[in-house]
Amino acid sequence: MHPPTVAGWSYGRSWITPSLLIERGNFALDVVFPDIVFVPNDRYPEYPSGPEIRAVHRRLRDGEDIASATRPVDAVQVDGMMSMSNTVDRDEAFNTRYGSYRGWQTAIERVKPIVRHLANFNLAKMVMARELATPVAVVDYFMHRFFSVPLDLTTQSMLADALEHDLGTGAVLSAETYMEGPLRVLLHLMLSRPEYQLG
Amino acid sequence: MLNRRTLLKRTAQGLGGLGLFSGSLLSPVARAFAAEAAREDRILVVFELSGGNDGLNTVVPFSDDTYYRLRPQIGIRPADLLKLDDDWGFNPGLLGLQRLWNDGQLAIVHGCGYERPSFSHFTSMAYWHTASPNSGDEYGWYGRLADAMASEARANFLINIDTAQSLAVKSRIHTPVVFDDPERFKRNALLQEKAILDYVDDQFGKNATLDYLNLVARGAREASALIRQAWANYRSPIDYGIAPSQFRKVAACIAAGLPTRLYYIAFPNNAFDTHVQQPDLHRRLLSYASDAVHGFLHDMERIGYADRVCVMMFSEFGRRAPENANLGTDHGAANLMMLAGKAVHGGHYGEPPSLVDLDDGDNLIYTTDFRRVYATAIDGWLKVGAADTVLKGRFDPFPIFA
Repeated sequence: MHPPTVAGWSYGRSWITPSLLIERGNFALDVVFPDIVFVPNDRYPEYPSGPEIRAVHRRLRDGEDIASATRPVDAVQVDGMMSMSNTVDRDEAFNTRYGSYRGWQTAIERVKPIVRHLANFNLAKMVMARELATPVAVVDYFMHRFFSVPLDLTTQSMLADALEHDLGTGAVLSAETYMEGPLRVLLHLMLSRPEYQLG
Repeated sequence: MLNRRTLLKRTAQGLGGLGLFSGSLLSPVARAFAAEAAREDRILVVFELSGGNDGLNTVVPFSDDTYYRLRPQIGIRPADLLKLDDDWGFNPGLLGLQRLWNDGQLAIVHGCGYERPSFSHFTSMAYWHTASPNSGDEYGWYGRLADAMASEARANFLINIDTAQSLAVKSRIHTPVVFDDPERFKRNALLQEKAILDYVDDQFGKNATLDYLNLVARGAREASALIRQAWANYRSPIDYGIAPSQFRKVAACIAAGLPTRLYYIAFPNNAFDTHVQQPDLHRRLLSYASDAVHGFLHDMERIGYADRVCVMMFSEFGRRAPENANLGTDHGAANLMMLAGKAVHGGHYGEPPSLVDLDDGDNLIYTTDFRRVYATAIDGWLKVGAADTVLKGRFDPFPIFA
C-alpha cells in the first residue's frame, strides 16, 4: 500500500466520510454474502444462467424483494438462446432462481477459481456453542464481541426484532439448520452502524 | 423586510409544510416561482491545485528579462506562450483558460500570499484551508462560510468531492457531503435491512466522536441516493478534456438541481509538486485543469447556469523564483489566484510581485493577502455580506464582480 500523497493517510475525523461509511457497510455485506459479480464472464457456464444470476444479485442488493428480483428479464437474448423464462415459480419468495443464486454464492465461498482470501466463519456454530437462546442474547453477544462503544437500546431492539422476523421464531436454537443466513444479515447490519466505526 | 423573494420562499415552504403537495403536484405557477428563487442562488466552486502550482510558469511575465535569467532552462519562450497582452502569456497548456480570458471571463489576481510564509505543503495548506495564516482555526473557511450563509443545518448544502474530507469544509453547523465515486456512493442492502440501515440514533451528547459519526451517517442517508441519481442521469456533450475530472461530478449535481451552494474539489495527489523535470509535466497538469474548468463553464452555459456559477482556483504556495538543478522548482511563496465565470470581469488584479526584490530564500514577496480574494468570493460573488465574520478580519474585496 502506497500512501495517497506525501501527507500520508488522513486521520482524526477527516478520514471518515459519508461515502466511506457506506463503503465500509458494503464491504461487510461482501464478507457475509460474497459478491459474485467479480467472477469473470468466461468462468460462468455457457448457458445463460450467468448473466441471469448476476442480474438477480444486483437486484437483491438494490433491496428488491425476492419475487421481483428473480423475475426473468423478458426476451433477453444471450448467445442466440432465449434466457430461462421459467414462469411457474416466479412469484414465490423462494424459487429455483433464488436457490441457484444462493448456490453460486455458497460455491464461491468454497471454490477458489482465482487466488483470493475469503473470510471463513460460521456464525451458527458461534451461537450454538454459547447456547444463545433469544435474539436479544445474540445481539448482545455480537455487540460485546465486535463493538467498543455500545449500541443504543432502540437500535438493539430493532436488530433483535429483525433477527426474530428473519428466523420466523424467537427460539433461536431451534433454527440451527437455517440460522446462518439471518445471522449474517444481522452481522452486516451491525458492522454498518456508526458505532462500529469507533475502534 | 418581506421582499418578493422571501415571500416566494415562504410560500414554497408553506406548501411543503402542509405535506399536501409533492413537487409534481405544485401548480405550474408555483413551480416557476420556486425555480426562479433557486436560480437566484449563486454557486461557488473552489478548485484546489494541490502541491503548489508554479505561478510563474502558469502566467508568464515574458516582457521581464529577469524571468528568463531566473529560469534559463525551464523558462517558457515568448513564441511558445499563449499571449494575453504585451506583458503576460499563458503556459501553452492553458488553452481552455485562454478562451475564458478572451471572453473576458477570467480574473487573475497576482501576488497572493501571507506574512511569514510556510514552505510545508501541510502547514501552508492548513493556513489556506482555515484562512488563518500562522495560527489556525477549528473550522475551515469554507465551513465557516456555510455557517454564515445558513445558520441551521441544511442537507446537501456543502459538497466536497474527494476521498477524504478537506479541513476547508469543516463546519460547526453543517455536515459536508463527501464522496469521490458517485457510483460507489450507494448502500448495498437486502430488502429487510433497509429500514435499520437508514436508522440513525438522534440522542446526541453521549460521545462526541459518535455524535460526529451519526451526523456523517445522516449525511450519507440524505445524499447518497440523490447524488447517485444525479450522476446516473447526467449526460453531457461537452468536452472536459482527456483526464477524469471532479468538475463533471459537480456539473451532475448542479444539473440535478441539488440545493448545494458550495462545492469544494481538489486536483488529486499533490500533483503540482513539480520538483523534477517540470516543463512537460506542468504543461500537462495545467491542460487537464484548464480543459476541465473551461468544459465545466461551457457545460453550465448549456444547462442555463452560467450566470449562477463561479470557479475559484488557488494553490497552497507558488514556487521559488529561480529554477532548481533538476529542471524543476522548489516550494515558494506568493502565487496567483484565478476566478472564472460569466459574471467575472476579466483582467489582471493585484500587484505582480517583483522578480528582482526577492526575499532571503529567493521567493516572491506577496503583495495581496489571499483572504482579499476569499472576501471577493464571499461578498462580491455570493453576496453574503459576512466576509469580515467568516475571515475574522477586514479584507477588501476586488471589484471583480462589480
